[in-house]
Amino acid sequence: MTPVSDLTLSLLLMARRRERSHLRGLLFARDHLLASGLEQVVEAAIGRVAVRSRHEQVTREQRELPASRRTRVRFYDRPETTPPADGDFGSHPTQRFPLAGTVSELTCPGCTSGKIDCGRCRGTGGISRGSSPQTCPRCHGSGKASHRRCAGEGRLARFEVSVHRWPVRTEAAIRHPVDRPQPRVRLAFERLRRRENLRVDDLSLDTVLEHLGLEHLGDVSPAAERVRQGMLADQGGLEAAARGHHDRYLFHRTTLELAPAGYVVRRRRGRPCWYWRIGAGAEALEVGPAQWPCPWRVGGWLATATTLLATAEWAARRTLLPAPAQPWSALAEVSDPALVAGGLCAAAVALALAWAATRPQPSVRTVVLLREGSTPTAYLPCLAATGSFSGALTVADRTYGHLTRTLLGGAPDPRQSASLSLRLTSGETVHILELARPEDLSSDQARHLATAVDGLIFVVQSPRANTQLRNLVEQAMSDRYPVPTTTVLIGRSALHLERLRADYVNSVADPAAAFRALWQPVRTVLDLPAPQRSIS
Amino acid sequence: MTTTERKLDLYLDYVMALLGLRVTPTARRVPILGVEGSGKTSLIVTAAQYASSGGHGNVPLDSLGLFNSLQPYVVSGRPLPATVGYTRFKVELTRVHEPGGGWTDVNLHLSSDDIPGQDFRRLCDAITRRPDLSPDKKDPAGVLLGRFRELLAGSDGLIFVVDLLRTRTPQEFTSDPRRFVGEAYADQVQPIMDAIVLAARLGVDLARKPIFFVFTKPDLHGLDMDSIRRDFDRLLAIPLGALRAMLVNIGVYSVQCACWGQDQDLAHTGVDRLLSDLAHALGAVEPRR
Repeated sequence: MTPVSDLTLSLLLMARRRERSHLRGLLFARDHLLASGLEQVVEAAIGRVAVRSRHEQVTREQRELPASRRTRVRFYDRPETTPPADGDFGSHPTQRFPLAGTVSELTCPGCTSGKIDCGRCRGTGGISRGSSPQTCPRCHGSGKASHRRCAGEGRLARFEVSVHRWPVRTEAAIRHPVDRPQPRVRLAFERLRRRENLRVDDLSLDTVLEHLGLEHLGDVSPAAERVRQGMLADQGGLEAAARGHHDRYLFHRTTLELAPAGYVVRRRRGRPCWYWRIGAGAEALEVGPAQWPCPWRVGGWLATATTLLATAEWAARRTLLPAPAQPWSALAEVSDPALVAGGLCAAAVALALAWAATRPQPSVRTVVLLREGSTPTAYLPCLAATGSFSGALTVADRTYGHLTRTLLGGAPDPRQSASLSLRLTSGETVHILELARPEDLSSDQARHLATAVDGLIFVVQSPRANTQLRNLVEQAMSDRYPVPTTTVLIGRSALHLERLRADYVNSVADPAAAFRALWQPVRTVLDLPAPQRSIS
Repeated sequence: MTTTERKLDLYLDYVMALLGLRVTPTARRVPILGVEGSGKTSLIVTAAQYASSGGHGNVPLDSLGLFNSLQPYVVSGRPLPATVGYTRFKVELTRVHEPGGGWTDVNLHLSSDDIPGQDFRRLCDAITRRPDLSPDKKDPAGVLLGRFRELLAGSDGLIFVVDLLRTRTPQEFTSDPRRFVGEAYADQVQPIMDAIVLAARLGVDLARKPIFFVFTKPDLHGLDMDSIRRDFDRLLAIPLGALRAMLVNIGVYSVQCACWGQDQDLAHTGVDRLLSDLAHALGAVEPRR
C-alpha cells in the first residue's frame, strides 16, 4: 500500500531547512513556521471526475472526380462499416464510403471543353522577355492549358461520401477539498498529472479508498466528504454534456480518480496559511507556504549595489583620467561622497555576510519522539496538560484542541505525526514531534531528520530487550552524515503513559510530579535547566 | 445626601469630565453566550430577579415584558419557551453584594442579544471541524466568526454558560459522571476555548478581559463547585495555560438559575458571587463620593 504523506514531518523538515539557511536571511524575513506551530492536519483527497464517452460520428462529404475516373471508385449502396473493438475507440481509422445513389455527371463549370487560358501568357501564346517577344514556354504558343480539376475532360463525376469516425470525448472536472487556494492546488494537481513517473490513473478508486479511508474520513474531514459529494454532483452534468454532442452516442465510462491530498493549516498574523501535499510517497508534490522576499531587504541590497557601482565608476574614472595638478585636490578626493558611501556600503555588506555566516541558532529547538509500535503514545497530551497545569509551560500552537480531545480519550490518527510547540517560562520554544510510522523511515528521510532535529527520544517497549528501532534509525543516520543529535532511550512501561493519562483526568495523579517525569527526557536531550513555575 | 448636595456633586463631575480630570465611568457591556438550552435566559432572568428584588439594579422597560413572561417558568423550573429571536434582554446593575459583607456601587449591563444559541452552536461546530475558518462574508460560518470576533472586541467581558447535562437525564449523568463530564468539556467548553483563542489570533485584545464560565443546573448534575473547578482546571489545562499567558482573566462559577422560588434573596444560587466578581474584574466599580 502506498504510504500516507506525513505532512507534519514534511513541514518540520521544510521549516527547519528555511530556518537554518544562512543566505536566506539576507533576502527573506524570518519565517516563524516552527515557532507558531502547526494548527491542524487535514487529510483529504483531490478528485477528478472524468466521463469518457464513445461516439460514432457520421458526416457526409461532397467529392468530385474527372468523369473517366469514376470507374476506379468502388461505390457502395450503403456504408459497410466495421466498428472498432472496445480498446480501439479514438485510434480507429476513419472509414469513408462513396454512395452509389448519389453519383451524378456534369459539365465542368471552370473550363471550356477541358481547356482554360494559360496562366503564364494569359491566353496570348507569347510573352515578352526584355524587349523581344517570345513564344510561351508553357503552352507552346497555343494560349490554352488543360484544366486540372477535370483533367482536361470537361466533365466531372460528383458524388457523396459517407464518413464514419469513432472519437472518444472526455468531459472532466476537478474537485478540491477546500475553496480558498484553488489556483495553486489546481496547478499542482495538473503538474502531478503530467509527471511521467507518477501515474495518477494508476491509483484505482478502491486502492485510494483503502489508502485514505475516505468513508471514515468523511466523518472526520468534511473536506473529503465535500470532494466526494462534489464528484457525484459533477457526474450527472458531465454525462449530460457527453450525450449532448451532435453525433451518435454509444457508450460512456465514468472514472473517479482520487489523489491523496493533505494540508496543514497554520496562522500567521491572523491569516491562514496552507501547506499542501498532493500525491503519496516520494512522488508527492508539495506546495509549501509562499515566502516573498522582504521589500526592505531587497531595497537595501539594491541601494547598496547601486552605491558600490557608483563608487567603482568613480574609482575607474579616477584611475583612467590624469591626476589633478592642485595639491589640495587629494583631500577633496578622500572626502568625495561616492567614496565615503562606497566604503560604508562595503562595510555593511561585510557585516551582513558575517552575520549570515555566524548568526546564532534559532531559538526554536526540535525534539523528535520515535516510538516503537504503531499505536500513538499519550506522551504529548500528558506533557502539555501537566506542564500547563503546573504553570511550567504553555502550548504555543493551536494543537491544544486535538491534545485535549486525546487527553479525554479520543483516538489520535496513527498515520500522521503529532506535533506540539511549547513555550517555556524562560522564553524558549521547544517543538516536539511524535513521528508516525518510524519504521517506514527511508535512509534519506532519516538523514534529513538527523539534520533537522536537536534531539531524539526513543520510546521503546523495554530499554534492555529491544533496541532495534534505535539501531535502525541511528544506522540510517550515520550512513552518510555523523549523527549530530543527542538521543535518549526510555521504556514505554517506565512512564505508564496510559495510566498517567487516566489518573490525571480522574484527578488522582500529582500533575507536578508527572510533569517532571515526562519532561526529564526532553531536558536531557536539550540540556535544559529545570523548569520554573511562573504563571499562577 | 441632600438634593442640593447631589446636584452639586453632579455639577462637579461634569466640570471635571470637561476638564479631562475625571471621566464618568461608562457602563460595562457583558454578553452572555452559550449553546441553545444551556441556560442563558435562565441566568439573565435570575440576574434580573437578583437586581430587582434587592434594589441592586433594574430591568430596562423594553426588556420588562419578556422577563415578566419568562419569570414563572424559571421560578418553577419548567422548560423555557424558545427565546430565539428575542433581542432585547438586558439587566442594568447598580450595586453588588460583597462576599465579605457590604455593597459596592457598580455600573454594569448584562445582555444576551448578540449571538443566539443555535448560531453559537453552529460556530462551535464549524471551528471544531474547519481549521481554516476565517471571517468571510461569503461563508455562513465565517460570518458567525466575524460576529464573534466583533462581539469579543466590543465587549468588556464575556459569560459563557455551560450545561454539563445537555441531552442526558440526571440519572444517566450520575451513573457515569466522569465520562459525561469529559464529553461535556470536549463538546461544549473546548470549542469555546478554540473560538476564544482563534479570535485572539485574529487580532482581538483579550488582556485583562474577564471571561467567566458559568455552569448551570447544579441541582441536576449534583457536582459541587470544588469538583467543577478541579475538573475545569485539569481537563482544560492546555488552553487555559495559553489563555492565561495572554493575560486573560478566566473564572469558573456554578449558578442555580432555576427553582429559586423559596430563596427570595437568591443568596444560595451563586449569582451574587458571580456578579460581584464580574464587576470587580471589569473595573465597573463606581468611585466613592
